Amino acid sequence: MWSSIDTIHKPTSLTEAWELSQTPGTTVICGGTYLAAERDPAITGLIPLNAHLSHRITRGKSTLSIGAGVDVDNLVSFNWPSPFQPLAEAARQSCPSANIRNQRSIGGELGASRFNSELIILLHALNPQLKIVQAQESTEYLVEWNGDGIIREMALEIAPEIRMEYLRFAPIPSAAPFLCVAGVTAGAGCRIVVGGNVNSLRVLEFDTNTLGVEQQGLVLEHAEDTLLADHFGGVAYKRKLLVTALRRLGKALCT
Amino acid sequence: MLHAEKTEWFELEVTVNGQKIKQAIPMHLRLLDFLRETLRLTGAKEVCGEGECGACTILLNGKAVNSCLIFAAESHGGTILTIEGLQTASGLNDVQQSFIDDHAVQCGYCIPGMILSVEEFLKHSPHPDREKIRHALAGNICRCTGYQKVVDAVENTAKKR
Repeated sequence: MWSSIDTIHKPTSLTEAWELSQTPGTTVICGGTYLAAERDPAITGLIPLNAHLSHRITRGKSTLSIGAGVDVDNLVSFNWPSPFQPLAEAARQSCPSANIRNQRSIGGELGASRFNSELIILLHALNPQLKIVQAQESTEYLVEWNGDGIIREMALEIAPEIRMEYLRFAPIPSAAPFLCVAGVTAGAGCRIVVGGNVNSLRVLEFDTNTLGVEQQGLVLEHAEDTLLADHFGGVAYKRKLLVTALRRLGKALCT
Repeated sequence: MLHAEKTEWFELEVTVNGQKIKQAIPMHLRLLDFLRETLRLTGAKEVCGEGECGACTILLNGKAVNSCLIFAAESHGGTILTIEGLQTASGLNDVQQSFIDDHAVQCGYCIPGMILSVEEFLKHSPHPDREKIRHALAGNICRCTGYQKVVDAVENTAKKR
């Protein structure tokens, strides 16, 4: 029972849903696994989005368009083009329960933006374009998105030379990783993301498509202050683990 | 000017186990409470209430979901299958029977959720290996069986189908 809820709005469009969401005490819901588990008593009104979102993945010539209503389990079972296959595994690992994956939408995942989600970390490395609904619709890259507005669609560019890898460190396979590093190389560039038990995701971009010693050092320099100590280890341990992870990631992306 | 309706009660129309139901419900009513308290379908169980255990699993529009994390209003217009609706005219369905034959049931509290998760899983993975079965049941926690017999039961159901 989430007894503070007294209203479930029925918006007729995403723009209207966004307008409603500006009212204090209301929040948009699309799946709702995070919201319903938290039961925040300050929330009195919900704005369901499912009826207004696409639940399809559409493959175009050079892009994959993923409707914000696509559930996470669809990302696991989707027949991804070969360079994108790590996305399926990242989606599965980010939420081991198939029941919950059936309920979580990609729009909701991006909105929640958990720092220890393999899927979110890998998506930040891919940096897809998001179609965002506010008073007007706009297009923004995920890494630059400030979290405002309602995500309508995510578009991934299909480039044949793209490569992606991620490494996760967790006590057991079904546990959330306390450190996760993802990397994507495409064309002449490379993007590395450090997540896990951190105070923010760190995203670094390089004008080279290799993760060599110099780039590894720069990632370490810019990401070490985001690492948090926990019962799996202190910051010094996490830093050493990050060094190892970057070395392995560098090899994986270059072979 | 916003046109969205704002109501504290919701006129829910939903099909549960093949039966069409129309009922006014309070907005904050979870699907699990609607099934257990309003319809008295007590097969779906409440344990954690946070989506961790899977004891409240039902099929909503053919997909296994945790009914403790869904508002009843969100199921409007949908089709729900609970464990009570799985039985066929000739008796238990094959997943249920395999759980009995393979001694996969101990206290039984998690079993309705397990069986419905398996029912959905086998529809899109008819010939799974044991690892896939374990992945499919990752959201259904059992504190009695140790899962071995459960995986046996799913494997044997798949072989018989």
